[in-house]
Formats: sequence, C-alpha cells, structure tokens
Amino acid sequence: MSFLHAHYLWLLSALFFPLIMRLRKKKYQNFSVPHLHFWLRENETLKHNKWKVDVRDILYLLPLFLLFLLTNLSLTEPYRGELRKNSHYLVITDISPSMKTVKNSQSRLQQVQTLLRKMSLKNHTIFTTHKIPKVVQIKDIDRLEVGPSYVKNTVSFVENFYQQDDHIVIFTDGVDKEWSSILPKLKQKMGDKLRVKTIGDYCPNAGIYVTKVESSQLYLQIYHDYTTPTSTRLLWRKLDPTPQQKFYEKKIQLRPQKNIVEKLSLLPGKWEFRLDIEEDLQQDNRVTQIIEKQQKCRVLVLSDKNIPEFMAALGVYQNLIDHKNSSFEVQTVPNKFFDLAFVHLPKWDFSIKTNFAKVVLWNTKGNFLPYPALRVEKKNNFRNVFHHKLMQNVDFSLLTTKFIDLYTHSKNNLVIHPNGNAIWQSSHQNIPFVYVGFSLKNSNIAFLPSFPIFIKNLLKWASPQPPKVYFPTKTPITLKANIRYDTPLKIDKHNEVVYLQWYVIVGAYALGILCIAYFWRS
Amino acid sequence: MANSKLYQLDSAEFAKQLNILCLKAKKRKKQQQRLPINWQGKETFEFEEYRQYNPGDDLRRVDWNIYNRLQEIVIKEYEIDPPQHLVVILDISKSMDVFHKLQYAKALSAALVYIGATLLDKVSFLCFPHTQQSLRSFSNNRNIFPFFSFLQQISSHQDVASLKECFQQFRLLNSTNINTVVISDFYTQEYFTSMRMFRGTCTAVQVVSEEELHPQLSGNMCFEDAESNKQHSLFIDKERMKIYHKNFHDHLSQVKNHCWQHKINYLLTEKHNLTFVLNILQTAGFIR
Repeated sequence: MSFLHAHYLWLLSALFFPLIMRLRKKKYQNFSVPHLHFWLRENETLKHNKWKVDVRDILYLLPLFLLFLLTNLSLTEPYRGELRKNSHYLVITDISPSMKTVKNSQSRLQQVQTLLRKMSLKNHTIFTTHKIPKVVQIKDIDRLEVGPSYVKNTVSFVENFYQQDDHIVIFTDGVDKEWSSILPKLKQKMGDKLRVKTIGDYCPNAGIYVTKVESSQLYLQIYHDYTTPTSTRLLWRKLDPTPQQKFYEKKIQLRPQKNIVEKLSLLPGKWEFRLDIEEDLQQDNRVTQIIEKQQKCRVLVLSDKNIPEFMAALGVYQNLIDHKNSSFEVQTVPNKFFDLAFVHLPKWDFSIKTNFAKVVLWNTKGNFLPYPALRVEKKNNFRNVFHHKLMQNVDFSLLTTKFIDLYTHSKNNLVIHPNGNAIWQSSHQNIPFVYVGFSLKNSNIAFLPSFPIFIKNLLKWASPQPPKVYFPTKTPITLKANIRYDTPLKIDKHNEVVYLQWYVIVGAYALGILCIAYFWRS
Repeated sequence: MANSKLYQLDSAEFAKQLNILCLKAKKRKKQQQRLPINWQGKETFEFEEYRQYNPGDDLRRVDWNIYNRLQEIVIKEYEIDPPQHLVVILDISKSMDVFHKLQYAKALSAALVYIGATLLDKVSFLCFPHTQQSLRSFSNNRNIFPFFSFLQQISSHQDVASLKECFQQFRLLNSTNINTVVISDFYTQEYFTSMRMFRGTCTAVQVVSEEELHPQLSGNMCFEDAESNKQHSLFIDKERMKIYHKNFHDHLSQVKNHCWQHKINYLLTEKHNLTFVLNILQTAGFIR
C-alpha cells in the first residue's frame, strides 16, 4: 500500500495523544488513609497493580485511537498498485444521439457509464461533447444524457487543459463524422497518451443535422457511411401552430463517401426533418429546427407580360424585401416559400401551389372568384375606403381603367365603384389575397402617385411580424441554472486538491466530542 | 484541622491550658467529706456491720450503746470507698498517625493524666503496642512534666499488639475498681472483645478527624493503608464517595452499638478540642 500524500503520515504521531492523556490521567495522587476498606465496595478486593485495565478506559481510548488513525489515513489517501505521479486523465465522453443505441438491453451510453464507474475517478476529469463542454462530476455520471454533440469544441477545450504527462481517454462509438477528422490529428500529437475506447459494434449509419439557418434559408447536412448507393427520402413538415400531417418530401440518393447538403427555404416556425431510412441508429435520423420569423418580405412576381412600371415601384422598397423572384409560369417557380406573390396571369388556381403566404391577383380568373362579375368599360368614378390598412395614405380617385371586373359580395373593400368593388380583399383555402379587378396594362394605376404607397402597404401587410414578447409586471423571470455540471475553475497540475470526505468531517467532530468527554471524565 | 501548636505537650501554652482545665474539673468534682484514709481506701458514712472488738482497734469506733445494753464491746464497721484509679490507654497504631489524630490523642492523654493526678488517687498511663516501656503511674501531679516530654516523643508503632494482652499484662482484667479510658480510632474489632472482658468501668473515646468524616477528594487516587501499607488505586467520583460515607458511618454506628451492648461508655471526638477531656471525665464519673 502506498500513500498519495505521504507527508501527512507525520500526523500519526498524534496517536500518542490518547496514550499521553492516559499517562497523565494515570498519574495518581498518593493518599494515606487509616483504613482502606472504607473506600471499597462489598466484595471488592485490593489490587496492587497500579496499571490495572479499566474497561471504561479502554472503551474511551480505543475509538479515540481508531479515529485518529482513520482521520490520518483518509488524509494520506492510501492506494494500491502503481500510480503515475503527476499524471491526470482527461476523459472525453461522446454524448451524440448514436450513443443511445441499445444492444443487449444496454445502450452505448450506459456502457460508458459502467466503465466510468469502474475507473478510479480521483485522477480523472470527465468532459462531455456538449456545445459548451462540461465537466461532469462523479456523482452526475448516472445522469448523463445524449444530446447535440460538438466534438471539435470539446477536443479544443480539453486541449486547453492538457498538460505534460496528462492522458486523454475518449469513449465514443465513432459514429459522429467529426471524429474521423479529429482523431488522426490528435493521435499524431499525443502519441501513446491518447486512448480511444470504441463503444459498440460498427453499423452503417446515416444522419441528418442542420448546419446553418440564414433568415429563411436552412441548410441540412445528410451524412452517412454507406458503402453502397442507397436511396432514401427527406421528409419535412411544419410543427406549429399544430403539427401538420402532411410531409413534404424529396428523394435523395446516398452515394458512398459523399455527404449531401440540402438547402431549403421555409416559412418561420418549428420544422421537423426526417430521413426515411431503415437502420439501427435511428436517433440521428430526425431533427427539429425553429426558423425565426423575418421582418423582411419574400416576394414572387408572376407575370405573363413585361411590367416594368410595377417592377420599378417594387424596386423602391428593397429594404422591405428579403429576396425577389420573378417568373412567367408557375411551374418554373422554385420550391420555396414566399410571403407575398404578385400574380399577373390570366388564370390562377390556389390548389396548384400553396407555398405562398399572401397573394395579390391582378385581374386573374379562377375558381376562387365569386360569380358573376360585372365587366364595365372606361370607368373613373372610384372611391377609396381609407380606414382599411392597405389603403392608408393611398388615393385612387383619379384611377381610370379601360375594362374593370366589379364584384359586389366582398366585405373588405378597398376601392369602391358605384356598381361594385374594384379592389377588395378575401381569402381562399386560408390564404389571404387581394384582388384587383383590372390589369396593370388597362389602367393608369402604375402612374398614380399613390401606387408606390399602395405597394408599400402590401409589402407591410405580407411581412412576417416579429413575435411579441410580453413581460407581465410583477412576474419574476425564471432563469434556468444548470446545476448538473460544473465548469472547472482550476485543475491543479499535481492534483493536490484535497477533497475532504464526509467521513473525515464526521470523524473530526466525533474526535472533538470524545476528547472533551475524555478530559471531562478525567 | 486543629491548631497543631496547641498540642506541643512540652510547651508553656499547653501547660497553661491544662491548668485551666484542671481548675474547671476541680470545680465540677463531686464533693466528698474528708475522711480518714486507711489502707483499703476512704471510709464512707454508710454503716455496714458490727464486729467483735479486737485489741488494737480504735476505741472511738466502739458502739457504747450496745455495750450498755449487752455488755459486749463491738466495733462499728463502715463501707469503705476504694481509691480512685484511672488508667489511660492510648492507641499508637499507624492508623492513629493519619490526619494528626495521634497528636490530639496524646494531648488528650496528657490532659487526663494531669487532671487525674491532681484530682484522683492514682493515674496510670500506658500505650499499646509498646506497652512495657510506656507504663507510667502518678498519685499526684508533681514531676509530671517529664512525662509530657516522654509522651511527646512517642511515635506510632507498626507492631500489632492486642488490647487483651495489654490488660492481662497489667492485671487489669480482674480489677473492679479501676476506671479505664481507651483512646483509639477502633479500626480493629479486637478492641471490643478485649474491652468486653474488662470488669471495671471503661470509657471508649473514638478519635476521628474532619478529613475522615468529610474527605475532599476527586480524580485518580492511590490509597495506602496506614497499617498494612497496602496500596490501591481508585478513581474517586460521587459514587465512590457515597460508598465511603456509607462504610465509615456504618463503622461509627457499629462501634457505638457495641459499646452500648457491653455497657462501655462511648465518646466520639471529631473536633480536636482539648476541653473534650472534661467530657471524658464526666462520662467516667469523676466530675459532675
């Protein structure tokens, strides 16, 4: 047996303390008495031995002696076997979702937990591959859970703590592709001081994770280690406000040694992405991502004609437009979501595309229109509905048209003619739309001073609003504190930090009480 | 503890104290008419018998009324009061040497001898063990002070001698007219068996000290028996003190009961005061 802190052994001299106390106690005062038997109990005999054994003395002395010994030994920290002095083990534990793979009724993470429990953790510091690497305390080993894994961050973090004579131990299943790039470099740098313990058997795996979200653009990386080409499907759906049953899907071909990056343009909200493939590790085949709402508007212009005046008016408000696409046909529209679509086509069907949040229709026919319409020629007697938010600061009283289709049923009227509504707002299949009863080419609307303001109002109407945050007064804001992990403030090179165990503290208290009791009795 | 200076037997202060005590005792002495002293002792006025005249008898004691009636010369016989003889026996065993008991006992003995020599017919002193050399007898208090010096020099003795042997040696057991005062701590049962055999008047004076009655001890003590020199270590706590008090008071009551059963006068002295000698003399019947 050896001692980690052998210099504490000199405290063993304190073992003489009870003995000294006993000697001091046994210093008898001589006293001559005329008749000794008065001092004795019945049947008590005279004993000449001055050092006779008193059981009560032994009962006091023995625990005192043992307590001194145990306290001293706990301070010296005895150990068996060989201890590499000044060496410290930095253990990196992979907590990627693949570690949840269960085989023989034990997940890979549980296997790691079992290994960690078996290790002598005095000289070990355990790190997890969280985004901000955490140091796990010994008592928290059982509470390790899988989550997003950031191997690079963790390794660079651990390298900051690395000192000469330290060892790095990595527990991983190697599924995370980052390991394949990091481990060779680390091995080259560390040599024998790096140990990688592979957990679980190898099985081909494909996974998905979100690499980047830029405004409405979302980049998905699909990684895999399949050796044969495999076809799969990428599914995604919106989860809020209520999870949609219908999945959008895209066929994907996984080719050996080639990862896939998918770029999707999505509406704000919570989205779920799935990789539809049959394999053992299903944990990394699903990911959810929240796309925050944008204040800028994504605009699509669909027109069968060249409308430079409209595009010029739209070009004034570049600061309100995130990106703008224009096309002549619906089929050529890229697979994206748009906040506002200006449709200047002869015919429109809402059932064709639903990836528009709001639509402005310029004299477009379709089944969404109420029937019949009143076609009127050369009309200029229009009146604005100023209280409507789309018509704020807009005056279309000078509007003249060659032909106009008037509808009378709509409630949200914007521009009214005595025979019907010229511009009105309605919705079809939960998609709000603004209908203009005349085309740009058959009217002077594009040349009216209010037209750009009208366009601005439309853009503002279609722009996604930032979420409102309410902080009710007198309501405390709960801040979540992560108490399961401690960030290491200092790791001593020589590991000379003495951890006072509970039994040392209890022992010290008991020692003090016993000493007081012993002196009091003396 | 009493002042040990008072018990310096050869000091003037002690002599002064003795004189005071002697005067007090004289005052309290039983008044007796001066009577002729014959060889048997002092005659009393109590008539005892008539007897025939023998030549040489005192004619003053002839009862002439009887002669007139019967023409016989008879002599009146009166009761004779035997001479008052006090024997002071001092225990000088080792146990008496503890807590200055012996010094006080010696002072008491000196006072008894001095007062007895002054008031009584004869006073004897002896101490046991060491009996042979210690016997001193006095019929008056002249030349008594050398005795005090002798008494001062007496020290405790390790030998064990029985009181019975002491009595036998001085033929005291069969003497009925001897008044004995035994001054001891009576830590041996043998004393009582000896005193029981004694036919004369006996007074037992038990000397104890304040330290024995109320010992102030605590903690670890190594006790040494004064007589047997046996040692024993004890931790003195309340429980042990209770045991001591019980045993000691049992002993005192045992001595008292024993004296009461055998018609022995019993006196206990715990405060070492010399006036206690008057109590002894009173209990022995010499003074009022």
